Amino acid sequence: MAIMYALKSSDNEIFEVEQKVIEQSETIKKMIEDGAATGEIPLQVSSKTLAKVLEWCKQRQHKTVENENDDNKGKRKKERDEDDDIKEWENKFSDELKADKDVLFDLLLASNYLDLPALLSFLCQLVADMVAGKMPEEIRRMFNIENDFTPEEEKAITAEHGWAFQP
Amino acid sequence: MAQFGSLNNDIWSSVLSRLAVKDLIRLRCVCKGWYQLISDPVFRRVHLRKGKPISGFFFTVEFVQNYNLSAEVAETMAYLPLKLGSGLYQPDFNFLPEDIKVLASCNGLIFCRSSIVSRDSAFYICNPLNKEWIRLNLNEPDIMDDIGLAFDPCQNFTDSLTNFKLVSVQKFETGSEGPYFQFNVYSYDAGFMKTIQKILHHGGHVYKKEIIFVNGMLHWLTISGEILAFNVVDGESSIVSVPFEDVPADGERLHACCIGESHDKLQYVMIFNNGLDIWSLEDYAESKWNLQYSRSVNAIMEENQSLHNRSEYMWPMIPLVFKDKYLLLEATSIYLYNIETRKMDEVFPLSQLPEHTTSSCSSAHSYCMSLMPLNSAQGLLL
Repeated sequence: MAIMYALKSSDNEIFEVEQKVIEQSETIKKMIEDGAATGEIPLQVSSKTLAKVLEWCKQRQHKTVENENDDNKGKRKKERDEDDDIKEWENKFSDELKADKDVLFDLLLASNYLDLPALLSFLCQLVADMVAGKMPEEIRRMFNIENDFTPEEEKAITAEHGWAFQP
Repeated sequence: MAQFGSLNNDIWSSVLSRLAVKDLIRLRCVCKGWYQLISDPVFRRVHLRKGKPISGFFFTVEFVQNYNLSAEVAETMAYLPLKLGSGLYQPDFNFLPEDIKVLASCNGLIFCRSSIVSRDSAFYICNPLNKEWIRLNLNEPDIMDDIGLAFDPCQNFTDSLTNFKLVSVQKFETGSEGPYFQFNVYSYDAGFMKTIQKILHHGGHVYKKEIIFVNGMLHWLTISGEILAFNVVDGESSIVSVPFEDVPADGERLHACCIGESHDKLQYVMIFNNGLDIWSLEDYAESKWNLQYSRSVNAIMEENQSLHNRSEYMWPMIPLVFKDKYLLLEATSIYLYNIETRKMDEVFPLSQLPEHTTSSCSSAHSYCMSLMPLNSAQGLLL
């Protein structure tokens, strides 16, 4: 029988989660180890974001368990198929986040706060892919970043390395 | 909408460290926060550690102009940029006080000297991307042509490689125990100091080709077919035998060779009359090599139909330098061979040179652009 924990979002929604799934969060793992995780665990994460975080954790947990149960026979082929499945799932997950940047932003904050290194690394790569090859103005618009340079300052930085602004 | 600008620097550092140098240079003008982050020496070090893709090759072509009664030797330097997320950056050295010749290149730094050799020749270390440079006080121009440059800011923060080192190898014919090599190490820790580090007894001569720095070690190929390895951190030196046991028999003669680097391992390229082999060094103590790549000249020509009619006077070629998946080769022209796509392209027709000349490539160096400041150690003392 799996040990379950109750997570409480900042908007007071309760999520029942298996210990193995939620232990991926270093923050919560430490709370459990310290015996501080009795009753509901209150988190500074909205229910919408927490649902997304748990979606990620369950997918990863699923993968780990299956690998443990495998014997070597036919493992290679199975792994290949699984890798394809995971890729497909990750692509879908990424597309949703690209389409809704508020969720992406909240998820970045949550993965940092809950200390989920794998999710944080995945999200950082996703943002890096979004940023690569783009012009500064596109990035400011995409991520709502204020340009605090004066036009003269910006011109000076641009002029120094004109080649980097060529496609 | 979410204020991504408010995310903490750790997150942005993790995002930006995954990008190419070209992206970083452009993204410095997104906002002041990013400008500061990308200029930070610690960030630049983390970024370099994530990957050092090759940006291009420098090569020097030497040509002899024949006049009626005399011949004059001249040199020209060219740069071949590769398209690898680095854009088509063309390093220029206009920020230096004079024209230069590139002598060595390592993790974004370039060691060079005045293009005209004289008693007043100056030596420089520079990062062309940052346009930073220093002039070195070297008084022995004679031994400077086969000098290796070691610069590895990805190593331990406190080790001696946070600054670059130059190492030259000098051959002495007479010693109490026979001929020997001496390594002269020039470091920039407190002024530019020369120390004689280690002596290695050996009978061969150094082959003046690319000197390779990988994993804290500098490597020189000798004429007798061995590799001198010098550990820049502890000053230990050793001799590594090149792979020869498995050389195919039946008249397949080794025509030419060179050393290179790929995936943080030393590589040895062998050109035979009928093909090429690339070996990777797995173990220094046992001189254990693994064959990484092998292709017959027939297969290479089949896969590159445009060169097919030239094969007779093209092969065997002379390998100049190997880095990652790129092999630069010389025949009647300079060619670039990509061992992944198996495509060979002519990159510098020697026919571009003035008429009535005979020419050959005298040296070639791979270049990885980096934002590393010249003295990265200083930046870490903040």
